[in-house]
Amino acid sequence: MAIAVDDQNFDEIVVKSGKPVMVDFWAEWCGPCRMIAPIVEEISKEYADRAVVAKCDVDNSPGVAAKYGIRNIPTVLFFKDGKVADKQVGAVPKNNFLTKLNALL
Amino acid sequence: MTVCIFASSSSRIDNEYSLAAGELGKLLAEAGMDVVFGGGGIGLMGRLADSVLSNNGSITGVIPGFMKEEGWDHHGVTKMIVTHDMGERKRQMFALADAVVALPGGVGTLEELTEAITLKQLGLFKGSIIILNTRGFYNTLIRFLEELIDGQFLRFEHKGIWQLASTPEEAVGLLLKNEPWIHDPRSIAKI
Repeated sequence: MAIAVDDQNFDEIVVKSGKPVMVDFWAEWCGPCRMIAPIVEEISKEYADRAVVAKCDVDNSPGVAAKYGIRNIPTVLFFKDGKVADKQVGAVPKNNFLTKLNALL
Repeated sequence: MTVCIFASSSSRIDNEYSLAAGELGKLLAEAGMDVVFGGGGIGLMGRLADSVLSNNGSITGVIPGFMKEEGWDHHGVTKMIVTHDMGERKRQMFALADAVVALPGGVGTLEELTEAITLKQLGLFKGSIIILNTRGFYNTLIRFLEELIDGQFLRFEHKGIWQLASTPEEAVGLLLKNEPWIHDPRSIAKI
């Protein structure tokens, strides 16, 4: 299951991770976010040994959302060694996420 | 209360429409209403968003990915929902809206306004539908809607689906009143 991250645990789980991290920034009221949620869950299972997959509710995490300039949702950020390495905005097919994540493995 | 605004993205139209869009944005922000719109950066959409933001209001854009790629999106909105296509954009806007206001606009705006009217006729949308009739922009459409009633394409009661405002103040006044239409629209949906 994708790990829920927020202002409190974001650094611990995402920034300090030794593995590449994919973070799905979403909101309850965002339709396209709900569309990609099952894809994000699938990826979290399939990549459990190689990557960390997290989801961040922007309404509950104003600090993280502001720090990373998350204005568009859904936005998926890909982190490597604590830094943003890639980004995907909008609901796109699973392969688009996998291509970006695989590039960091 | 979340108010969805449908409006033109043209930057060539008369400045009076733009002034009204700006005034509406200011009034919505001052009233503490959350605004949802099509996410455009120019025309009445852009003016509305600029005004909401400069008056410390909250405004969420809903824009299809291809429009964002074209660079047609407003860059300062509070949040921007990026949808797959135009249909999803409209569904998302209606899902968030407690009420809608149509400002002057072209065929896109017209389509959004008539969908709102259709959904309310069928009992699928319950909020106020306010037509901001700046400079009598919508007089021809209103006349046509009345012709639909005369010709029994619509019932007389359906005239209560929409409300006309001639100024932004009137529009916000109607939003605050939030008068419900009939209890069971589906009972009169069949004509």
